[in-house]
Amino acid sequence: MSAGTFCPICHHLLTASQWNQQDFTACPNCQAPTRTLVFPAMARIVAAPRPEPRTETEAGCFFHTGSRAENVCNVCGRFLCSLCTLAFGSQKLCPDCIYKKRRESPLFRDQAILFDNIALLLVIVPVLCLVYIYLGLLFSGFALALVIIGWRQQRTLVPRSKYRFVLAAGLSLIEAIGWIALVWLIVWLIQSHPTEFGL
Amino acid sequence: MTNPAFTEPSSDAKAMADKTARQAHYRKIASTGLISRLVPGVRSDVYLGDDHLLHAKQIMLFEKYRRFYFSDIEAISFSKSNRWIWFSVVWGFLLFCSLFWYLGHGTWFYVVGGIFSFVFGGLLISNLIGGPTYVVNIQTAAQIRRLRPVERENQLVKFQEIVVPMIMLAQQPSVNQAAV
Repeated sequence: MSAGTFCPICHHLLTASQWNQQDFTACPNCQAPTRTLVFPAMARIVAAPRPEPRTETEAGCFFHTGSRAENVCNVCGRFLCSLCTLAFGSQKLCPDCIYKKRRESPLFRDQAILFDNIALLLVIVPVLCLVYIYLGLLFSGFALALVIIGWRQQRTLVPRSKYRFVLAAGLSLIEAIGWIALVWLIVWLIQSHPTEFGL
Repeated sequence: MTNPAFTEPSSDAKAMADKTARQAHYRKIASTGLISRLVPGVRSDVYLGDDHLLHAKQIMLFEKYRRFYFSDIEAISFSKSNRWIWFSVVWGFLLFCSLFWYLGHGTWFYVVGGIFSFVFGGLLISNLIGGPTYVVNIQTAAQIRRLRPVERENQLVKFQEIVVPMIMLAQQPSVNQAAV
């Protein structure tokens, strides 16, 4: 059970009389009109798990054989006592499965690398910073490599369009061709007018 | 002979299965505005999952996820904010300033003035259409997070209509518990 609810603006503790009101009530601290919807979970008291000892006829926990099994892991099917049961929404898992699945399972993923944004950054920022003149081909190559890697490896939990990849690939190719053309032009100018360049 | 049921799936099949598992169950229900898409670290979206809400926040090169399980949500608090009024004042002032381009005599002055007026006028109108703003917090026993995608009035109303019944359904005592 939480300590209570708080004003979203000043984070001051709101009184229980302000919960689930039809109209807005003023925050006691900042006077901002505030409304709070409180759900039954607020009143839930979460007690520390205390596994009970098992009897002869009962199944025991996989990890603590002396404790009575109360749940089954949704992934591996092991019997678990209340201490070993870890709830993720409607799923109940054992610590082993969480350890094994923490990287591969979408259930535990808390962030994703956006390869498409990085690739776009690599093609746009060098041009804006004029670094493109010196290292344009290198940045374009990196961006193109990221597009190729990220096309399959980008593991966002939510649907994401691929147009940024296409845009980054197109721009990196244009920049690479542009850079090669620029270098070729400079070399051609130096070769055709060596005296003007002091050669 | 290898039993086809136990052959290792190809990398394509794995990638497809992973993608399906990840993305099949999320439906976007709210998103931050157009300007936030251009400013790094401001864009965030709220998705509806089977048994939870997913708050996806983009921080330029990463996307960070927060899950709020319906059975764990303790409260949703929202306060009225004056942000939309201040934004209207700012966009209105910039629109007024952009009209000064029309004092110049020349086609280019009119063109530039027209572009600025169009941009700031559009932002002002979209801000007014968006309506009043709120600061919205969602609270569980473990965390209190601000939900920026639902801070406009119409978004907040829609969000409540979708989410509150699902939270109540997830938190009502089950048949087994009621029998006890």
